[in-house]
Amino acid sequence: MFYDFSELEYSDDLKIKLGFFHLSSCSGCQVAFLDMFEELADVLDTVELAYSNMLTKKRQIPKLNIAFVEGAYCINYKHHTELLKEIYEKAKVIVATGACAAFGGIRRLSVGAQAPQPTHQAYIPITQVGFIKDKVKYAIPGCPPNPSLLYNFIIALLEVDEDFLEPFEFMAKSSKACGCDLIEEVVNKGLCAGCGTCSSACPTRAMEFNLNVQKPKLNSDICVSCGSCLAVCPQSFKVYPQPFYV
Amino acid sequence: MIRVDRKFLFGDFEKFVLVRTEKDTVITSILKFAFQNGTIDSAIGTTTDSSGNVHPAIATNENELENFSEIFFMQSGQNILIKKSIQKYRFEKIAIVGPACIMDGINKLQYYGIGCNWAKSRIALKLGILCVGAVSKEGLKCELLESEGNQIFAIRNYLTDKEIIFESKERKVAVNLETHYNYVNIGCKYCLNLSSRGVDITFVPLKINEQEFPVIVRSKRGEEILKSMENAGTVTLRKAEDEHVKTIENILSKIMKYNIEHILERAELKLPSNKWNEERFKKFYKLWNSVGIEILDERIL
Repeated sequence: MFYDFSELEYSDDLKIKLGFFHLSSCSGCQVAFLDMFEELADVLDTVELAYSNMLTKKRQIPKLNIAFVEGAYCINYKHHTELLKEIYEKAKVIVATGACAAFGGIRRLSVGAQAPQPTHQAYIPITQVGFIKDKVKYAIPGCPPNPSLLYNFIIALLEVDEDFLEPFEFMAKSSKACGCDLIEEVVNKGLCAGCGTCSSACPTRAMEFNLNVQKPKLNSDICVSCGSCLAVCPQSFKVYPQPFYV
Repeated sequence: MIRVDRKFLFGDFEKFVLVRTEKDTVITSILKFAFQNGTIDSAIGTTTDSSGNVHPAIATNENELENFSEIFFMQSGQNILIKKSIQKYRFEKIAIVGPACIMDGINKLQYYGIGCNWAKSRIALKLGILCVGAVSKEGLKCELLESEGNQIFAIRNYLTDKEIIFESKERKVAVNLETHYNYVNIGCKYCLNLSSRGVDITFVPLKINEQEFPVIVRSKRGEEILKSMENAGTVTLRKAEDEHVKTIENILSKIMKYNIEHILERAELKLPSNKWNEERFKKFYKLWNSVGIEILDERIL
């Protein structure tokens, strides 16, 4: 597990150390982390934000329990390779946070490996990067992931809530999820019940809803491969919690 | 051993009651009352347009509830309005009416927080509908044609012990459950949550008497609303008799057995399931055929 008492640097420091790392992305996932507001304060009672390129002044990466990595890995970009190697060395668990890191996200629209234009380079999600793959345990979908999802995820990690975390483990193994996957995995396989949740979850409105046949319809031109539609679909993985209110 | 018994069919619930209303339908009465006492500030349901299409719709006050459709067992996609009602219209206490598939989507949004950030805190009431499988507009046309021989414009429907009755302004058409099941959406044929588990109140569209329908109360919130309605004289409640529960159980078990057959067949044919669900149908197949297993994993259901 990510928490090992024998490796604590200070005997009185029982806080779990989190790090936020940025590869090729817009940093929206870190902003989503800040958007937790008062819930963030709850989280920070238990965990320590040990490293973040945006939120802390530290330049050296300390030993971490959990590293949240946002952004896609740029092939042939040395800085990304070095950073990922260092994260792999220092973190116990790596969480691919957000669409770019988990499923490629908007970086799936890049066209090849030609510097210096970012849109001309080649990117893959960190769930496909072989040398860190064994530590990438979870992938969080969304562009950006919802603050409430990040909060629920961190709480589930701290409480070792395996039921909650299980689907995120599957996502880390799948490395691809876009609107086409929803159509292929749910609609084409005859599992869609026509509830419209996918359409509601789509951040770019790429997942439209055809009211005549009551099924989702993808506008692939504006799909950013964030995986929200497939992740939120009641058919992709199931839970039946009883009514839940705050 | 797993059996298609009451526990399997109905899930957990607090009470099984019969609700009699004065003039509105049971769902409209509950929503109207919730509007009046401030429990909700909007409601997401469905409406039928002049050509018979069922669309999702938002009611922002009790008068708009009159436009809500009384046609059940039709696909409608209410959840497409969740984000709009939360983020665009800024509603804070939303009620949602729909069958189990709609509620599963809501429960997932709330539990995980994927997709819509405030679904956890902005949904105030979940009114489920017991469902025997949803059809599309075309499916509805065909099943009515098959049963009646010509087309009718249905404005409401409800269940009896063996049939679904469709009512137009002029006449009634009875469609038996087998005919309806032929036209049901394929996705609904793998559903094991016919009675809408995970909601506050499940409305059962089984007509007991004129204006009297059964309701499954599943949460404290649902119970409080119904009690307050009874105290205010809006509805009359009485405990459901065993014969009523038995009738509902028979309808559900019939449909559930069809659905289980479909799932087992799908597993036997090794048809693909989707990724991330850890071969749900295969798991169900194994559990269904094991002796000594009493409860199905909630995630498989």
